[in-house]
Amino acid sequence: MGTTVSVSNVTRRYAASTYALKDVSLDIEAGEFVTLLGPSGSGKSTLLKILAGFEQLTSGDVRIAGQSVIQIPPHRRDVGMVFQHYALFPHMTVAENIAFPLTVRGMRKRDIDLRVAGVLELTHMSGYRRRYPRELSGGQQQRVALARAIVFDPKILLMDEPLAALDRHLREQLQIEIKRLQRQLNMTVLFVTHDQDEALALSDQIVVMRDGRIEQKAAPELLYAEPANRFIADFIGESNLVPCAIEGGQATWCGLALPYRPSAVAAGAGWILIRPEFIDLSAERPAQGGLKGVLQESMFLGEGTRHLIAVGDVSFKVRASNRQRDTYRPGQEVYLNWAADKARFLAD
Amino acid sequence: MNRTSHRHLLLVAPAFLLLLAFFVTPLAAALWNSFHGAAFDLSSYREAFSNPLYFHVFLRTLEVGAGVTAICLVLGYPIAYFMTTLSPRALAVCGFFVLVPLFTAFLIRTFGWMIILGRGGALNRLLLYLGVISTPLKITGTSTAVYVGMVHVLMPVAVFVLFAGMRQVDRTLLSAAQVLGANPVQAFLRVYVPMTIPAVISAGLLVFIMALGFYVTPVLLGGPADTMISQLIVTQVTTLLNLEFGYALSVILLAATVGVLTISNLFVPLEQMWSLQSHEGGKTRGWRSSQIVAGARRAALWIIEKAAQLLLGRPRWLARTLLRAYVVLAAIFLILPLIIIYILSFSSSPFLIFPPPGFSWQWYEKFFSDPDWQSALFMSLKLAAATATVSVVVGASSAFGLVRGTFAGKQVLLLFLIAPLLVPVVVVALSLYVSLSHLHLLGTFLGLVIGHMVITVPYAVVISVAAVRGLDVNLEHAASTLGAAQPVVQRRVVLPQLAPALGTAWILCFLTSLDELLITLFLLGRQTETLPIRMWSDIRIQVDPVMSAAASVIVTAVAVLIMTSQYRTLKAK
Repeated sequence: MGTTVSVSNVTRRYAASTYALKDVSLDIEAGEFVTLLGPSGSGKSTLLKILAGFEQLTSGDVRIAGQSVIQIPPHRRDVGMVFQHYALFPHMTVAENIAFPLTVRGMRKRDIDLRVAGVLELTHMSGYRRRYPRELSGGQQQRVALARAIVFDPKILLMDEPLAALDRHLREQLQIEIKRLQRQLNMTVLFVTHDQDEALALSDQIVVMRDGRIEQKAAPELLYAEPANRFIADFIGESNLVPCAIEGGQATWCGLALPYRPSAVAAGAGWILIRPEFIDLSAERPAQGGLKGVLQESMFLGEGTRHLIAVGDVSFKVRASNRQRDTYRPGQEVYLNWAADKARFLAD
Repeated sequence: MNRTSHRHLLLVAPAFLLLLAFFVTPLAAALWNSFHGAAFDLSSYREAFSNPLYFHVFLRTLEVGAGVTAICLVLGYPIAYFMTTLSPRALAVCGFFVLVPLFTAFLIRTFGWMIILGRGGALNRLLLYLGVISTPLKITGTSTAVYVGMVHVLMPVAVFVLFAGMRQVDRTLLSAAQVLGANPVQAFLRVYVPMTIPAVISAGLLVFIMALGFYVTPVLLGGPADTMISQLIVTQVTTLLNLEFGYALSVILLAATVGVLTISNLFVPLEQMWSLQSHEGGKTRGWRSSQIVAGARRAALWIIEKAAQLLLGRPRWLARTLLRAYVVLAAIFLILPLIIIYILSFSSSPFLIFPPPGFSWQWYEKFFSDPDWQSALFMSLKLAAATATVSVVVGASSAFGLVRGTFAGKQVLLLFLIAPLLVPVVVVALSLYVSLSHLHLLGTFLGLVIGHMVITVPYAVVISVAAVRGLDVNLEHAASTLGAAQPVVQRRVVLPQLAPALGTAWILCFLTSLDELLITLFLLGRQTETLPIRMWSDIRIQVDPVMSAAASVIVTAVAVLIMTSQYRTLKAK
């Protein structure tokens, strides 16, 4: 059922100068899982609502399967949507909820029953067809909401922070389910979240939004390794950002040379980004390079240990694997070192 | 203003026009006429204030109103508190004892007290039998009887409003206070009570306003010294036909009411009184007491705390047991007149003797065979059903407009729609009388429906606003993404969710109309009598047990309706 979606130059303005979306363009391929990621107020939910038809756009165009939908009311768009608080009809049973989109389309009773049974099977909810939503747990309610949203073969599936109300364990379990369903049915999914781990785990493409604009669109690995700017580096994953100046292909910070992967920028001010897991920690000065710092705190996290090391007035985060565990005491002098190709320069 | 705002305004229009035409405009006209229009003749007011008789009635009305309000609050507070500690099931049972009296006509309850408190009534007979007294006490015809009757009528109102407010209070704060070192009494007085002050003010205000407009109870239970202002207005308008003077008295009563509302609005905003604002915890407007008052309050609080802790602190079950015993007594007080009426309706004697000398069905037979009672019953049911149905439609539509609309002045409009509830009934009755006589609708069925709607539509609005506000817009959005067009969304998603609230609103409007006496008295003309009117003339001319059979039928109907709705809410949970 995968379909292409194309958002071109969409702007949504409320008052004269308050923008919810500013000139947003985005292309989604058929069968792609795309996540809109950003802090609250970044415009990701507005974009979703525009696709569903609950928000009008000020200018621009939205095409689903090549056809412009901005004049089409929500109920004729054939877009499936899953809401954060499930939005199940409280006066209908699970089966009635799922049958709703089929009955309003005037489908025959026998076909409805078959389809409902099919999606209940798919979402592992077959035993609950006669229950009312209030008799289900949060996770079960979200499965029903998902089943209801896909039962009528919508062209695309929109999900508005569908897992935000669930606890961590359930959230991980449902992430796997959603991913499996999306692959199995080859659905085009547009998923909204403010949880970066969720975005990294699920998406083919992540779209990072801020202040009504798209900051970067990239595959998760690329986004993590090569964020376009400081905001994205900060927002996705943990990062160390060291202010520095570039001169003649040399990055210096307080007179210290920082190893980094050479970039096109020859001179200017900016930041060196180095992820905590790429920093090596040692008690002795390494053969070459190395920043001397003082260990402030170590936190045991199970699979790894997180160290905080003060170098000058910058506090470095270092994440060490616990496969071979070195123990350091707070106050101890340690050396930081990293491979040049793991550090990136980000211009201001 | 865009197109959707216009649509929302259109939804509010019916209720707005109803009140504009039959409540506000005639009140303005009454004000104008009370000083003979442009002549600006203040003689009516001069007479009202200079005549010592009228002045006495004013003072008496305020005094009784304040007294009854204080008693209702003091007696109602523990009951409301007790109700917040109950499980849903126990609450349904306890609520039954509050709701059945609340929705039984003033008239019927007052009738019950007439039987109990009369010279040959149940109480005197009991006391004589026990040898406590040797000659019957005179209770009916005294202020005591008026107070008992009015407290009985208004206490359920107080309990209801207090309970609604207290339910919002987070009870974990009581535990928090105790963890922080407060003993249970301190926790209650310093943490719980202050948070319930808005509810207390709301309840007090409503009870006070209702008490000011009381008519039935002082007429039937009080003596000449207990005359209240409503009686004066009714006499001036319906018997003496002195309209101008009636207007002037109403204007004075209205001014007193508005004064009370204005003052209380300083402490608790009016919108909150009917839970019309989305609740974000009780909000009182700040006011600082002086150092001395604060000091005195602290000292008093300290003494009360110590005393209460000493008396109730141990054994620990004592306070709880006392509270339970008190609630049982209060329930008996509330339900007793109704039970007495039931018992008397099966009496074999043609007189209201208690206990009845024997058993018979004759009064029920008479009630169901007498064509006068028959037509009164039918008329009342027809009127109540028509009123309730139209009121719910009008109320629900304006609730949608008010909650979903985005136009300016929504709060003011909402207050306007519930204004008839904030004004003594006799004033509403008079303004209806004026406008309907202009439109030649006096004495018509339509006129009666309009009259009842002026007081039932506000109830429908209050209930529907809460229900519409509780709707999750996402459900409607979900329905549209699933392919339902707007009419289908309304029919299959919105309406089923609103159905329980609209049902409750219908029942409330139905019972209000079924019980209505004062407005009907003004508007009836030559129409068939309604049941309350029939009872009213019966009580005043010759009291016979057919009246108690009629009352028992109504009480049974009310009880069944309330049990059904209690059961439904319980099942829904």
